[in-house]
Amino acid sequence: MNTVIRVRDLHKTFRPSAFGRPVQALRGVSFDVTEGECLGYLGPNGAGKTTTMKVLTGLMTPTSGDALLLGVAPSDASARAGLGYLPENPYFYEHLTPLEALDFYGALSGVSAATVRERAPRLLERVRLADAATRRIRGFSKGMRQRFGLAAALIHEPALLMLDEPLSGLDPAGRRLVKEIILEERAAGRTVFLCSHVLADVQELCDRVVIVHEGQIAREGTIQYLLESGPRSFELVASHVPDEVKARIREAARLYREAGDTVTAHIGGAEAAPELAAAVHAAGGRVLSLRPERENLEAWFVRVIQRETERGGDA
Amino acid sequence: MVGAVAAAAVLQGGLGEANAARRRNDFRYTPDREVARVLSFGHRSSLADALWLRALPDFAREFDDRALKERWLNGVFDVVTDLDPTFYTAYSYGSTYLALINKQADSAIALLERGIARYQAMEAEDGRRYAAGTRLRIDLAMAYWMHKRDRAATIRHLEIAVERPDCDFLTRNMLVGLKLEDRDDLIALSYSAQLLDHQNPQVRAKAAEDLEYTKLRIARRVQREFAAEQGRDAASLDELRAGCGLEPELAAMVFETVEMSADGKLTSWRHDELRVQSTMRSMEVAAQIYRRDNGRWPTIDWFFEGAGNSLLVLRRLDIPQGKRFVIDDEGRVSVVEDE
Amino acid sequence: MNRRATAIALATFREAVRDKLLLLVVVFGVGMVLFSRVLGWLSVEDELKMVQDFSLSGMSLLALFLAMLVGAGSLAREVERHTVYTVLTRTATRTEFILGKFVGLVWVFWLCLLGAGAVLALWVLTWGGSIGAPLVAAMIGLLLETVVLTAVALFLGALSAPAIASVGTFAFYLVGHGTEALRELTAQGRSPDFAAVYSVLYRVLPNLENVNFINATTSGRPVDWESLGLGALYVLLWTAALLAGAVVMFRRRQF
Repeated sequence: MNTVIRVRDLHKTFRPSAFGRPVQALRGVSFDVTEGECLGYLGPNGAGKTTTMKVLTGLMTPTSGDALLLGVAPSDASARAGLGYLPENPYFYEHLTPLEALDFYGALSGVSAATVRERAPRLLERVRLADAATRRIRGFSKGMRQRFGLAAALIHEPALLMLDEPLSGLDPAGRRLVKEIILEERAAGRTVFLCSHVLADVQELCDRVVIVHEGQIAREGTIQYLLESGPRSFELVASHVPDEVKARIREAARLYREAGDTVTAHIGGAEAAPELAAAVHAAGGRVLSLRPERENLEAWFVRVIQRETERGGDA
Repeated sequence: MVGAVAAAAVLQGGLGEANAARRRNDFRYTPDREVARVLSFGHRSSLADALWLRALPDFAREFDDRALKERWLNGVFDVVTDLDPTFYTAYSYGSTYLALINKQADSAIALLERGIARYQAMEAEDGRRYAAGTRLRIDLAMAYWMHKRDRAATIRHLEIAVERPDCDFLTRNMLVGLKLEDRDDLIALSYSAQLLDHQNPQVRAKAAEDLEYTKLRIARRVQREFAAEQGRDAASLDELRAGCGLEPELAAMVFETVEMSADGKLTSWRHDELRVQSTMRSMEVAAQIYRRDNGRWPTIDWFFEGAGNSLLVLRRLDIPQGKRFVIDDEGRVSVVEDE
Repeated sequence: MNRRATAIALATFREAVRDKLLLLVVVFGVGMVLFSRVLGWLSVEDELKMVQDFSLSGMSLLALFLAMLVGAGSLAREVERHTVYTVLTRTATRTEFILGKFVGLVWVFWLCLLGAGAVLALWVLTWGGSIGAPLVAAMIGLLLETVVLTAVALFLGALSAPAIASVGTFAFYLVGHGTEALRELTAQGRSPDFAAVYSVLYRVLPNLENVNFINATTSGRPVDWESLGLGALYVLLWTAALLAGAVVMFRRRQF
């Protein structure tokens, strides 16, 4: 597998003003993204996600360390030929129409005018902007801009998609649409580097996550691996449960809810829940469902960050 | 509210008076020429125009303090013509104002001389003549004539002016008149004859007409002198010619076309002929204009009554006995025998 | 100009043409041309002179205001609205970006000036003048001035905030039209103590008077085409220097 993105010991220090204290946005970040992979890049606000993206897209030069796109520094224009980048809250030339803007971005990425003319209507169709193809971007909603941004990022059919919060500001239909497109692009073999704080989305779209915190990598691994390393729990739903079994469930449960005849409980541990389900059944109650609950990435993320912060506090 | 407005109205009455009195002597600041040049930031002509426009209403203003007004006036003309050395109106109007209204003939002459010097420099640089340069020279001659009563200076500047190709006939004839008074007859004739071979036929015709008039003027002067010396009028043209005291060649030239009528009046048949011709050309121009406006040629009567009349009145033309003007279908005017 | 720079120029052009601010500035310019006639009426004589002088001055100011209001803020607007993110992350280089912006802006500004110039031409013809070589030369000079003012605005825009860039562009205009005074200060042996300083300053500072042909256009003086040509060369050298500076500053920018 080829390495598409290679980041080694990246440091970036800002000096907000001539006499201000320098801010260390990145403090030795290293990671790789291999071809065909979808990497989720996670971190709380101010962790250094956007700074990493800006270094990788050539908008910024690192203070030290290396960042390479397909083996070339992003400050070199040729490195960016295979890059499709969607910035956070993208803004485009307000007075252009989507068709004009796609012409423009196509030309900037070296796509021939004829190819742009051929691709543009299909792309706009794909992001559901075909009706707005000749309207000025000025009047677009945030969601429309986001979708247009995705089209613009795809106009040159790049090998690598770099998406900064691609789902923010979208309505549910829009979110689903964008997710579908990302999954399609992945399936087509594109490498995706996705920055988001909506962890559920990352969970849904990415194979692997890198968590950055205060300018450093806090955790890295496949989602499966990271989640499995944590404790498990079950969700038990049952009805017609006799009172004494109810009491046992309530005792064991992390969360317990009774609505009419139905009991819903979240029970920690690998054994307790199946045992209680058996008890319900034995006592003549009805087990409606017993589902193992994998830890939500959100909770996991919060836990990791917390631990990082504590460790930082200790040191 | 009404009370307050009424009080303000009363106050305004007093304030207006006070302000008007104060304004009579408030000194309008005019920038120094060097300051103006820098502060124009390249918009020299426009700044000159703006300063000129601001000054225009003030020319009519009364100042109590004369020295102040002189300082202001000279400042305006100086800075405006420095910013735009080709601003002819500023020189010409300025000099007229200075001389006629402010009685500063010397300042007026200095302003005109400054303008002439600038035009001379421009002409040397560009290798061409500017009409404004000629007009300024004439203005200068007239300023010497009217405000300084300096005959010599007037002649000096007129002599320069007539050498310029765009000098008008009025100016030329003024110089000719002065030369005749000085009895410089040959010079007067040569000035009159200067444009005889001009490329423009209308100019040539006018020059020929004026040359004949100059000859007639010499003859008439000779006639007056004869009368003064002899105590009687010359009985005939030959007597006049014999006793005129002109060089023979000059006399031959002067009397070549002159006739004496029964009452002793001198006329020039050649001059009359040329005058009739030039009048006919003027009538044709007027006829063209008339046709443009009315879609048809005017009748010949139109020239003798109403609007067309002014043309002939101005020319004070005696129509030859037994002859009359006619106008044909193509607007050509000619003279025919009365039937 | 390669395809990318051309695309940036075209987008800049389209963006600027459709901006209301541009319309406002152009209305000012055309208004100034039309208003010149009112001043002409006040002058009693010399109407044509006033119309022409004030119109040409108005067009010079139009060029200045375009550079100050549209040019100086154009880079900052791109950064502020993050449009630059979508451009520089493609294969376009920052040099191409600056060049494209420059050409696009000059294109728009020229169009505005030519529009105002057409109004002026009509105006002059309406009031009995004629369009001769002096007017054409003045117009060419104004177009050249626009080029260098745009380069200044871009350079200062790459260097600092739009407000400062605007003021800086204005200062450049004033200095550019004021340096001739330095030569006068040294002429005829005046202020000999500073003559050396003045003469160095005079050479080093930009001199927009080299392409200033808006004065005395009604005087009938012939146009010195050779000096206009040399002025064009001079102005283009300054433009090249300023653009190079803008590129250097912009390449060092972190977004």
